[in-house]
Amino acid sequence: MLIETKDLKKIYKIEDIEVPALGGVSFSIKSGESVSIMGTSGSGKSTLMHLIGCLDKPTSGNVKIEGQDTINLNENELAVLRNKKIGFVFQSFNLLPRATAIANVELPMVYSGIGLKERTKKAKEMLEAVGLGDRLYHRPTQLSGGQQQRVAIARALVNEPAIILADEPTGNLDSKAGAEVMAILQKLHSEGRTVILVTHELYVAEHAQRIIQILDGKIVADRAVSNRKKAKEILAKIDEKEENNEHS
Amino acid sequence: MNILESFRVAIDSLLANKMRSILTMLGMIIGVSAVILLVSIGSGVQADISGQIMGLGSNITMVMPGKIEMQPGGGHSGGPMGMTNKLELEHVEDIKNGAQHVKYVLPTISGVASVKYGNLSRTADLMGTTPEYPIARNSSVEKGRFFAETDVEGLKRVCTIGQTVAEDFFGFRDPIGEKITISGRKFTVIGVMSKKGAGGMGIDMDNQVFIPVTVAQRILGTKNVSLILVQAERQEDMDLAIKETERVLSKKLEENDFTILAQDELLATFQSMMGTLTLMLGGIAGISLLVGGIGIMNIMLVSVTERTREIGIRKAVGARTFDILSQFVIEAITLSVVGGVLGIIFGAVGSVVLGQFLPSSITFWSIVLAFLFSFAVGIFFGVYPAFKASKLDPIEALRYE
Ligand SMILES: Nc1ncnc2c1ncn2[C@@H]1O[C@H](COP(=O)(O)OP(=O)(O)OP(=O)(O)O)[C@@H](O)[C@H]1O
Ligand SMILES: [Mg+2]
Repeated sequence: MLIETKDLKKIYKIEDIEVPALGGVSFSIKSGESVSIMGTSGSGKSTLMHLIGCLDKPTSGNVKIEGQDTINLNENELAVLRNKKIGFVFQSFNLLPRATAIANVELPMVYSGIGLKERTKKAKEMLEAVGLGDRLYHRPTQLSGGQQQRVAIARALVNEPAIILADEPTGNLDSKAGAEVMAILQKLHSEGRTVILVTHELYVAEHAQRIIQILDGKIVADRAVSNRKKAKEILAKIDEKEENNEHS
Repeated sequence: MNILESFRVAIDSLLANKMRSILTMLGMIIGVSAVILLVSIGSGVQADISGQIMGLGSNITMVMPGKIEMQPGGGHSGGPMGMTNKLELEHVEDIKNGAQHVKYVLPTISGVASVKYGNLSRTADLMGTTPEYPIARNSSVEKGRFFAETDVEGLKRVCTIGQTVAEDFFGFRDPIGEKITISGRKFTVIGVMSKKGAGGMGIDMDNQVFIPVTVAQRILGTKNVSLILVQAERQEDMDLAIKETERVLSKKLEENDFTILAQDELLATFQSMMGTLTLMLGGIAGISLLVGGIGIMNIMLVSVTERTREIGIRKAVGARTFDILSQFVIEAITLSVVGGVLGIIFGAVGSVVLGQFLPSSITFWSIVLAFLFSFAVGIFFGVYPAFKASKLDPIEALRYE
């Protein structure tokens, strides 16, 4: 198993009030799977993603990555784990605002100790792969939302992590830019990567093979997707429609 | 992440905020240049006056009226002010006759007098002394002569003048035989001293008028002398000469009536006094370094808060505690060291410029110290904000708006 969670609980404490966000979540994800975590707003999706991604520690329960317990790891060991095994894509992109696209993509490699030359080369390749070969030296403010999210995906991929974690990656994008991002994520999955997608929309969730549905911090359904959406086809349709609009 | 990377990241973010970085460095620049400037002036003045004291000659000592406590190292000198002066010409004769190792004994009465020639007038240093003065003090007469024993005994109104006085009053004309007025009395110029050049602190060593000591006593209405210079044959004889002088004077004077000042003692006292002063000046300037350091800390704290999200992002992609810590510490050190180096440059240039007007000498140790201090300020005031940054929780940092 790539990821195993066991009775994960997370309770936030604000002053003396306890806010339960996750109430005992257990599931497993195999290597190479494509999974959506779906639920309404406030159901605990992001909380769960942060725990899987080792950004946060559970109140109780355990997360195993590639069979390794994470509960006993210290802050620095967790940082190394995130660096090597996990690539994050956030709804709000989370790029360094003053750094160029290429510098942003290089960032994980800076912390894994890869030399400047190789870093630049690899970051460039990655940006070319997400279709931004001509935007290497643009800053986030000089890029559209969709382009920023693609930079973020390139950054998530650059250390070749076992897991891609995407929290509402299309949340801030219009349908076309969203479809482009989904197409890249589906392509990554087809190349053998494990992609975990967090979303509140069924339509987005159905781009994955499997949907884990949560409500109020608990899993209420865990099922396979029968009619999986294909982002490439959706994208082609959007393009076709745009062309028609232009002609009429 | 290695240190070189930390440097790259630190410099990038300093450049991204140029104005702020420069303003922050200004504190260090002013602090460091103030330290260097003040220490330069302090040690310049010290070297200058020490030079003057040394210029007295190593085989010379002074007998001063009254009791003066000298504690080399402690630097305290004092004694009741306004004490009656009991040194007289008679004692000069006693030393001459009674102390074998003493070569020259010079009574001096010094003061400031207004000197006039025709309708020209100036203020000059008046020195009443005896004919041995030029030989003993290593100065020479350029034109005419110094006054002789007969002038002293006969209370002759004659004077030998310094170069500045001569040039001012007579220009290229020959002053010998001319009459000038000193403190309201007419004197005949009999000689002009050779040029001595400027002393320290802008004192003109050539703005002097020498008259017989007896005449000076008459003008001032006193039978005392203000100082007796005692010169030994050789430096090795100095201790003996001092002992003999003391023995001779003790016959007629009380212990509290006179002080024999050895030159090395004087020098030591002066130097330790100046050293303390220089240190104090440096210390005061050092306070501004401290203020500069606090400025750096302030900006680093603001910067950490402002970049909370950046820290969250870095941590999410794998930055360890030390990576964040070193990034911010290096930023602080870069600010303080670049500020320090600029301060050293400004301070050194300032010292050179000021050196045109004041004695100043740039000391190597003040530069090294200023550099090390600015480095230390960077670390000291940078560590706390950096530590704060490194301890941020990644999730909370990412959520920060
Ligand atoms: N830092 C926090 N402190 C306190 N409570 C929190 C914190 N973060 C989340 N919560 C609470 O935990 C619950 C789950 O939040 P979470 O962000 O995981 O929801 P979500 O499913 O991602 O929602 P959305 O779709 O709106 O992003 C919510 O009730 C929320 O108020
Ligand atoms: Mg969320």
